[in-house]
Amino acid sequence: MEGSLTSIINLIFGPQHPALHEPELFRFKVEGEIVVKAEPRIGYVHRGIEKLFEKNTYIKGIYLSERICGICNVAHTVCYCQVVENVMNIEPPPRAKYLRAVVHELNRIHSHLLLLGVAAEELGFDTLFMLIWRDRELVMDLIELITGNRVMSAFNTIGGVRRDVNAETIEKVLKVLPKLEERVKYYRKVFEEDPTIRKRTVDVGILPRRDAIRYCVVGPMARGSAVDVDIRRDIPYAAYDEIPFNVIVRDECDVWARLMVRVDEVLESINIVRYALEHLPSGQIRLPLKRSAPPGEAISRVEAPRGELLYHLVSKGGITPYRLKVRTPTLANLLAASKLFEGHTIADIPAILVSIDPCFACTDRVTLVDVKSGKSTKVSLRELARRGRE
Amino acid sequence: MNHVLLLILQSLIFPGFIFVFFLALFVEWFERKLTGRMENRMGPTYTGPHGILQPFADFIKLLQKETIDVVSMVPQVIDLLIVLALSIYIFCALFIPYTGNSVLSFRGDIILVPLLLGLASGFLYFAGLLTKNALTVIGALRLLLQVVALDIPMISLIALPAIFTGSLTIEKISHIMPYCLIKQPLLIPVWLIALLLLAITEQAEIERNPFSMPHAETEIVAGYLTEFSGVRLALVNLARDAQLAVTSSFVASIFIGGLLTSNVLTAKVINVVILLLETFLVIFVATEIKCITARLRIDIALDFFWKYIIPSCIGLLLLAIVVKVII
Repeated sequence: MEGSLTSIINLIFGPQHPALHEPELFRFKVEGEIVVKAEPRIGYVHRGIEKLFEKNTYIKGIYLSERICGICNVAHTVCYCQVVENVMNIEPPPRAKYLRAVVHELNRIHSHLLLLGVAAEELGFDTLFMLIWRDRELVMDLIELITGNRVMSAFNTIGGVRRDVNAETIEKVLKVLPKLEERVKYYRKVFEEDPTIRKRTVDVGILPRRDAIRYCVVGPMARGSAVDVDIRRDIPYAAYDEIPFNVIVRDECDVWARLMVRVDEVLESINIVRYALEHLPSGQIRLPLKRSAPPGEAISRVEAPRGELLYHLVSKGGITPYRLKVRTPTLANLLAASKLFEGHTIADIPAILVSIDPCFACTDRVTLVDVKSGKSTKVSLRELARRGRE
Repeated sequence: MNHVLLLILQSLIFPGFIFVFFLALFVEWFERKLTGRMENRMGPTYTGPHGILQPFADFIKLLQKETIDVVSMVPQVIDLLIVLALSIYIFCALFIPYTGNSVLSFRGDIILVPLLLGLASGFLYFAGLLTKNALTVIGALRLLLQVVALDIPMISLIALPAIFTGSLTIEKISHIMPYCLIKQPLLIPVWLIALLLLAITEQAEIERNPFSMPHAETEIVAGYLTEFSGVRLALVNLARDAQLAVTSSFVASIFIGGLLTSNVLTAKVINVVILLLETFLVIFVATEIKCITARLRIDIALDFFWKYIIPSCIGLLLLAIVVKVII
């Protein structure tokens, strides 16, 4: 009887939709208000960046890697510079490592606040969205103060960083941090206590720990499902082996837990920035520039705001990489997320989507999508080369 | 003859079409500006002083835009439904005693007005449903569910002023409501609970947060409004502004009231000012609630309505009757 009353509607989210801030398509089969099936279709923002790396020198690659994702650009440059340094066998000076950590964390704060604001907007809480984004300006100003630009900072370079900070700058930053901390603590209270937010996020989109491990999710999404992973602690890079910090793990496994992990990580990041600036070693900020790399192969892993970011570089000598592979966190999280929609209502779609903090521009690089069948296929390097010749 | 002419003038100018038109646009500006200030934004600033002409500019601009007809819909019926919805809201304004006297008034109009308001929502629902888009259908279904859950609490709340004052005429209630409360102080707690429930119910009636599901932006784009464009969208927007204005005036006139009974011109002008201020107070409260909440899910909202709001409204109604009998 029920089946005859309701029919299945094809609800198409995207590529243009108010809940999506980047072009991507989700096809939902909806029965009444309940989502029966969800199919993501990625590939709208494919820009051929990995191929471009092969054409450009290592130095130009820094600016290219930054453009894979505007929001977490520092994570990309840190990871890129590290992988090139690994191939070149050089080690940046300690002061540069600390500065990298500072800017990396400021970038994380800005990315998380951006996401929390967007989450509030997707839940229909426009006031919270506006207020969080207002206070995000504090950290944007700090990034500008240290790196010279608000978003695309181009702060890291191979063998160190490009700008030094002086005592005056450090003092200014340390003065702003308590203000930011106070505001974030207030938002933590809002996310924790507001009844309408809790009604929309608690017990929605549950990803059990077992599934989180099976789908190999990374970053805040894994930590919200009680999986204790954080590259900063597990395989320390930059100055993270010397900076004390806590890894936030929650075991509620729902959308709310994933948002709370991010709120708490912002507070943790503020402490990291404070510690790093107070214990900044003296010395030079970068090594003399090397243009070419010896033949070799290296990987680098970084905890980007959205999770683990991996760069794999193969060099055959010379001034350009032979091959650079980037694995971004959203690709790892998206597959698990499309399972989460099933059984939830249409109203939960934006909430679940925002909880993985999707960054589609990062994701779309070499995955090719067959438009007719909607199936995505990974293409091997040889296959790409063959297609390139045709 | 004179009487008929007066009626036509009243329904065209005050408090009919022209008045409702400008009131609706002003109310939209008021709500947008308030929302902006509450969200730490500026709100409209560009057109006119403090952006006061912005809704009017939007209206004119939409009139110039192309009206797109989607295949497989019945444009004439949709137009008819939208115009009917708008005219019902204007018709309702004739029952509201802006000057202290309603243009149309009879015993029982307090029941008629909320029914008409529900009917107009229903017309918008049908107009949305006829556009046959996945988003509009979902939005329209949500609106229907919401209207069904809303009617019982709305009617039982509206019955309260009638029970308090012993009258079924909006005009009379709006005159004696405050004195009635002063004379029978036992009714004041009941009245306060009623105001609280009313704030929640009205929020759903005018489809604002936390009950904005029928046109939830991040879920179903614009809900039942998705396919409207051009003149049609201008009229739908106007109808929704008129809904906000008329519903708020209606609620203000019967729950707060306090209008003067004198027939002198000054008294009439004072009445208009009083009622409009009360209307803006109601809209202020609604905007405040809208700005401090997230959108609920339709199932949570319906659950909330059927499990808590409807029983408490009926309970309050019984309580009011008991208190009234004791007094």
